[in-house]
Amino acid sequence: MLKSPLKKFLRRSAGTILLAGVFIYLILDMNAWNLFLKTLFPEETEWIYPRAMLIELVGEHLLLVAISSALAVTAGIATGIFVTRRSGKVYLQTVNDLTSLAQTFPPVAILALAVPFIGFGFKPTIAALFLYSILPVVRNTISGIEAVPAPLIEAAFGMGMTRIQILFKVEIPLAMKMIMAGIRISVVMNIGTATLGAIVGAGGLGVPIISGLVRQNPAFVLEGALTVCLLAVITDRLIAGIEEGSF
Amino acid sequence: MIQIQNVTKSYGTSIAVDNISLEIPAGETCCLIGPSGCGKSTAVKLINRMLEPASGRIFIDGKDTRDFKPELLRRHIGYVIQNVGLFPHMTVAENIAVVPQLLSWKKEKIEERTEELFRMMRMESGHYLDKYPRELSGGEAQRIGVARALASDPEILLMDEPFGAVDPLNREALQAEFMKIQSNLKKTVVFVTHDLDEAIRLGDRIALMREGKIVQYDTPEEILARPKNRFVSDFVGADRALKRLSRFPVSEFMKMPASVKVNDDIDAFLAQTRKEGKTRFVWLLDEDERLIGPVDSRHVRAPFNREEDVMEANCSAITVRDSATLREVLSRMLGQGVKIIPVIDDDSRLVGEISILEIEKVTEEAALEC
Amino acid sequence: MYKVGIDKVTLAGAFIGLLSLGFHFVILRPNRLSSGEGLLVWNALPSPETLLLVLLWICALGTAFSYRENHAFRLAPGLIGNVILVLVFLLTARMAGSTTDPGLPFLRISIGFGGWMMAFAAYILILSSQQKLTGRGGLRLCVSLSGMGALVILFASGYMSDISVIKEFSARQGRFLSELSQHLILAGASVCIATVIGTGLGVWAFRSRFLERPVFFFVNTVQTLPSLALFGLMIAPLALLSQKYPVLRDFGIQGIGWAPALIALSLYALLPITRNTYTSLRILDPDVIEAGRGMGMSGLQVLWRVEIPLSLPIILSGIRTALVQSIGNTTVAALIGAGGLGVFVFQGLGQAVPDLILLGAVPVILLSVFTDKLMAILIHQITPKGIEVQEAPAS
Repeated sequence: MLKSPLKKFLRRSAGTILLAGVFIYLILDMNAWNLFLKTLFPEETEWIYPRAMLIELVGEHLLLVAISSALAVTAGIATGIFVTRRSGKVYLQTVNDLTSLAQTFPPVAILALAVPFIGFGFKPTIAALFLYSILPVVRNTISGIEAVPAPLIEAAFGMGMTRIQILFKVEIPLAMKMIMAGIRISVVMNIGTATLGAIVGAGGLGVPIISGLVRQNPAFVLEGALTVCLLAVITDRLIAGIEEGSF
Repeated sequence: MIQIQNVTKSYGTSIAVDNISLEIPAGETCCLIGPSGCGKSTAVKLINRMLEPASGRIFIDGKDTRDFKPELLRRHIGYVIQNVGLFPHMTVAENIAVVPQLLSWKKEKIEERTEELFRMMRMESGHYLDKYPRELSGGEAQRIGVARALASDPEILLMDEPFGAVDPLNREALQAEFMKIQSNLKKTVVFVTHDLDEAIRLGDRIALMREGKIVQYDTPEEILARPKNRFVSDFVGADRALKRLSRFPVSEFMKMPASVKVNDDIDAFLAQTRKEGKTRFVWLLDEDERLIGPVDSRHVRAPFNREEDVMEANCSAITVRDSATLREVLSRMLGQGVKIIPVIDDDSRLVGEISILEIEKVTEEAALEC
Repeated sequence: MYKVGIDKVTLAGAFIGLLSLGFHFVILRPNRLSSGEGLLVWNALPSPETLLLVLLWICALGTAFSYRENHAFRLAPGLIGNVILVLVFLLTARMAGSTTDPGLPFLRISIGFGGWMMAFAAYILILSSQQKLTGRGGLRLCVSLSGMGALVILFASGYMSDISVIKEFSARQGRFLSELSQHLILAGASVCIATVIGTGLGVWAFRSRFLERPVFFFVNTVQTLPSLALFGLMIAPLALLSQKYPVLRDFGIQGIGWAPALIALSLYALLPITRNTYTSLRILDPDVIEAGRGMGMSGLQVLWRVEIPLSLPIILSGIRTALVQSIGNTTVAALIGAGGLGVFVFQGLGQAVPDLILLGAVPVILLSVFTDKLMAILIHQITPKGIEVQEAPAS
């Protein structure tokens, strides 16, 4: 019986993968949508957001999230590692204070404030998303690494590991679960905030929702809302699957 | 061999280790013992440079430890700590392989060595290799910890209260195993403990420390027989004469017993014994030389009757194994009210007898001071 | 014995502070709509004031490099930080008040990126002092709050009224206050509802193994949904409902408006409260309860004197998280017609009036931070001495 982590992951996330399959089908086949929304809202004239294909919107949304999350995860883990090293320990308290303060800021406020300084569109949204989604990653990296018991580190030193070897062979593997949890929170939050990106011209699945609100067409709203909800749930469960596989 | 020369370690204004000098010959076990805060753990950490001395030098086989990179030094020294420190995210096999991998050993060599270690520990490798530390009991984890420290076959082993967190039964077994392995491997061991009995049992020499200084560095027998000052005699306790007995294995002091087998001519033997008058009790053995019980040659008359004449009943209570120490012998004697104890081996065969006279001879040697 | 070294945190702050001099200190806009141009410090402010700011930063740099373990050096960064913080706003306000251009009657002046950066750097200096002043309650509080306190006083006295965002505020004070109260009511009510339901769910989930999984599955899933989407999803059913029962319209319950917002906000606030209630029950050491019973306490007494004091801090911690979250989410609710401070944010974004955005966003941030700190103090007060309240780990 192959014990490869990939096989284990697939078995764990079978349900999620199924859901993802359904999702992919749904964003490709617009007829199903048409039928579904028509039955719900017979009095409307249009049911599907006309100006862009659903799959395009999903693509824009994913791009927003992917870029900002990739940057945030890299920067976040790097920062977390830095402030738990000997040379960075002085900054640990400050980073903790700043991140816990910043986490009380509502993401929508950060997004809105980025506009007067950076402008409208894709880039300022990525900047705002990056700034906000870095926080849970940093916090969880720090807690994960700090949770590694001191006797383990002492034993590792005693065995002759260098500091870098200890970081990669002991600290990070043991902190992995917490770090993945932080990444999961970060990415899911990102998907949510990116929805609001539609308001600052970044595209994404918020577009049909906003359009629907403006034009008072609940079908548009549902189209966008259901899709992004599915996206969020699937992403959350997929990363949770990876999280469970780490020590 | 380890030479510690005038080493001092301080933290700010408090001095943890105060100008100590110690020489530990190769192949010996040196037990560092003392009250908490005496600096014994600090001293050990100075050897493998987990801590750096403020002054003084440490030489291993004539080479100054400062001439090596700390990591390299430590890969050639085994280090076992109280909380084991097995990496929870690695299997037992992976844990053991850590230092060999750091030393770039080939995979086959590592596997071979792992098998060897399990044989040495008398544990079944197949059962343990793929287990994770959380699946092990306290005693098992400790043994794996020791195996891990021995993985790269270092000449020096540093052990800081390794059996401290284990229950007394397991600790007893671990100590016995340590002694057995050490008698085969002859490593240079520095063993920190707060348990005097453990130090007496395991150490070839004991260094008693207090407030950073070494008060007395001697063999256990010497420390117990001739404590240097009040502190030492208080530390070893008022019962040090008894403790000292545990350093003497019964096998070195027992005498050849007078014994007769079941199918021999018992009456004749008893008559002969009475005639010679050298000894009173005779031991009855079965065909395989296993002890059945004592026979009182003075009071038993011919014909010999097994049911009546052999005091079989408490036999096991008055025997000791050949691996025992004089301390257990004395304990048996006092507990059972007898003055002679038969010594048997693992197969219950009679190998000797010991009397209270031998014990008195040993205790007389110790100068007892008030 | 003095320990001399480099104070890295103050150094970082001083570095950022000096860097901020290279960015626009203020932004000048000919009218509220245009994007305007930025001015660097020395262009915006008269020389003595510029010099003052630069000198203060060099002072900060100096204390960073020659740090000693005595009281003066521990306080210095905090003092400098507070002064700079107040100066950023003060000087901008003065500049705004004194700059008049007959050709630009609708001139707007607001703090630029450099100005905010400087304020941030000043905050780092304050943090640096805070970290070093351990245990000195009074002094520490002074360092933390003096700057903010001064700013509050300045704001209240109308001194800052020339800064553009304040102008925006003055222009619609009434509306602002009504949206502010709407925001507070929505956030507060949703947390109240969530507390009632959430504590119940948490207790249930703890008592019944069977319910545990579905309850947490539900609240966890709700949390992952994007807020705008959840608001959107509430619209359709409520619209249908209000069509069927027109009497609901009289109460204001319809597809858009406060009703769907309240439901969605309450759903969001469920997770922190449910999870913390569950955890607080979980960690109640059964030995402690047994000891209480053994001493002769009745069930109610055990509840009142043991279980509640021990679990209350954790539950309140969950409510704290829920409140902060709700305040943020309520901002988005403006999009579905529920009112609140989000109204200004989205109007500002739609009309491209930066000051309007600020008028909405800044109070929301201040509200979140203030509520968080207030709850933290409350929790600290009611935590029985000798217990550590853990920050609920993010998971």
